[in-house]
Amino acid sequence: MTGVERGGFGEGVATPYTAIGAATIPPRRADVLCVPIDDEAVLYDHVTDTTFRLNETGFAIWRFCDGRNTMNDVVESIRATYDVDEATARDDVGAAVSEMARTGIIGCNGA
Amino acid sequence: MLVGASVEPRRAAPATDAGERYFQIGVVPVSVGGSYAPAIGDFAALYAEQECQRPPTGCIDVRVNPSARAAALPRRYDVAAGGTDRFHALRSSSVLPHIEWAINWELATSWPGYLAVHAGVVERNGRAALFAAPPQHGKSTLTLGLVRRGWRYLSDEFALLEPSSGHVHPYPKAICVKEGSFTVLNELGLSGGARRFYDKGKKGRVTFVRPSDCHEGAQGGVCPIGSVFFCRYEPGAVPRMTAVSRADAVLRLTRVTFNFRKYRARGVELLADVVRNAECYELTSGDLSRTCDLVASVVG
Repeated sequence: MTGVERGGFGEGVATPYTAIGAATIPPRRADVLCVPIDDEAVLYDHVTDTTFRLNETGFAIWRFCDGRNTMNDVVESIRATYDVDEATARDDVGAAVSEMARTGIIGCNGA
Repeated sequence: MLVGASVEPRRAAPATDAGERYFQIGVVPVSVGGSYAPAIGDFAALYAEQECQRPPTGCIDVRVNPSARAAALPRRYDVAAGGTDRFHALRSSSVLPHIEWAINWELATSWPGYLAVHAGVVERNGRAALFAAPPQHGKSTLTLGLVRRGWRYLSDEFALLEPSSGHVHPYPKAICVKEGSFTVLNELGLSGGARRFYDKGKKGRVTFVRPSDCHEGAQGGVCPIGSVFFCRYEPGAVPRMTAVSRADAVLRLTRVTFNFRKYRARGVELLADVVRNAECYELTSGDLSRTCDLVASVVG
């Protein structure tokens, strides 16, 4: 489960996605509105007029993508938060960041 | 979607005026006029309790005129709102539903001051229950069933959310019952009297039920939202309900808010504030009585 569900009236911007590596820093866009609700969140991208829902895991991943943490840092944070094995954390983080990058709400900078 | 509707807005043709009448339907002021007097009379009969002597401020103005056509051609009727032709009703029996459509069009697209969510709304114990559903999924029928049980009625079409408070304001239009639900009128004891039927194009025959026909004091007032239901009707299904997360509810509500693009980020924040204090469910409805029982069991 990627933790990202898209809805709303607009189409997400498809960005070219280069291979995500452990040292890649995936920064979330500062201009995307984030509204926490319970343990989840709703995001609104004003550029594409698209609304997204993040479940609990997706919201956590979004928060950890602060422009300083690498992919590996995010994986370790998820492992610590949810007490999951590394393979599960890598799968979840990789899928979520991949989807977020595809929709344009997150960027990926290589180290 | 709109039978006989013009997709190119054009100026309404001038015609001899048959008079103008004014109505305050909850928070929605409406004026109905034009040269086709029977339509004005039909609307006034349905909304007799909401008629005003003077025009309220900011009226949604609807005009009905017979189209200017050659005498040999079948008669049709131009329904304009806000000075622009919106629909062409192909027969006199479809004029009243087209007047309703014209008002709803204005509310959904250009009427200021409220976030317009496509939902039925009823109130109990000072809190509103919203029923958001795709067309033909029982929104109006469920609303009618609950109102008949004594709940108060705000609308069967729009939840008008006031942005500063998030409270829902009433638009208690006559409840539109489609042909597939006519048997429900018998079940609810509403099939007697001089009931009139109209043609609503592809949606078939419809009739209208005034809230006051359901019970005395049926009209509800401004109130906060206590519960949100996302409804799907399955004929013959056992009614069932599952909780949905509030974030999921916000996403779903943005999809059924007609004027979301006017509010955008602010709309997301408003809907989030609304659902934070509400319980949210996915509701599969079947038999009306059992569905109403299920809703009442969670709303109280």
